[in-house]
Amino acid sequence: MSRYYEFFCPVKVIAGQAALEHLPYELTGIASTRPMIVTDQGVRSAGLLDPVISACQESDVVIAAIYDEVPPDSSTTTVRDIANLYRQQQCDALIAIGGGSSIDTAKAVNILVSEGGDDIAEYSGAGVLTRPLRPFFVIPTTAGTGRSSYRSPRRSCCPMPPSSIPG
Amino acid sequence: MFEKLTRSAALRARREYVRTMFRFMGHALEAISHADQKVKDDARVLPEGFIFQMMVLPSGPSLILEHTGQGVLRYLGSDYDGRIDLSIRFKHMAHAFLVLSFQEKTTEAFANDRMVVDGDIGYGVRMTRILNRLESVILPRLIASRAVKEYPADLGLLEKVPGAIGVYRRVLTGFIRDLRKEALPL
Repeated sequence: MSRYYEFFCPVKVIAGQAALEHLPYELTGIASTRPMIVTDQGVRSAGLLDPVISACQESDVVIAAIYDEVPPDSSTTTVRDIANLYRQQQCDALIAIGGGSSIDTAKAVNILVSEGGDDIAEYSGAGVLTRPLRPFFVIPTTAGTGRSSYRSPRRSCCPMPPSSIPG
Repeated sequence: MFEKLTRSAALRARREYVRTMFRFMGHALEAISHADQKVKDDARVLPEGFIFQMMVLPSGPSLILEHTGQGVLRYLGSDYDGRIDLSIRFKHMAHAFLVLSFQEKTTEAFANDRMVVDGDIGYGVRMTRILNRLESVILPRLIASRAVKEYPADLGLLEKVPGAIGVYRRVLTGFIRDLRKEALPL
């Protein structure tokens, strides 16, 4: 057995009855007024966005932008498009709703909108991120291992800094 | 489309329910502070002029009470822009509805992080005890047991029924007074 280990995963997890309705308070708590939702068509057409939008509206939180075309196998182009929309709409937080594809894409978008640039591939490698990332929320709609709340993305092309985890 | 309209109507109904319950509780707390010795004993410790607020974030509805001394509370309505000494704020309308429709006990709601308490925690606990006492007295035992942490074992029908009648009578008078004020604002 190892005589040393480190564990670092300071993610706030909110689950259970009426958990979704905590989102507006959490957004207000970090002074976010223009959050952006990143999701896919499947989630949208299933009506899973409605309770999120409704919970926010009821608390006077306006969703500034919604990107709902994340493909099952996302790409650097998708990441760039979403980052551009985020900048155009002057958003200040990201909410990923869906499965791994939406969540990982939103994580990559977060790097671009926080660090600048248009190509996520430029941020491959360890220790390349120098700035704190934007506030990031995840509403998973699929059953999983909870790996999305951890630092490593699904593909190991760009190791994530501690600040990329949802919080 | 129909689903959206139904949902929107349900949300409006929920907001109105919470608003009405806050108004009811305001009048009922004032009423019980005149009649119930246990409430008086708890409220007496609060400083005179102490202002208590319960509200739903970010902008209401709300209820405001003032301790006028000797354990007596006065309902100030929902519009008050003065100093607040203790505020219990629900994070969302849905959370307030869970508590006010007796689906979640107040203590459970605290534990589930549904509310933010701003002010002296000791006074907050005291006000929660007063709210629990009110619910125990005015609600049928079956419903009150769902609303409070522990239904008081020593609260018999001989104490409960006259207490409840007194509170409902004063609440009714308060509601009529409010309606008159709203109809004739000057």
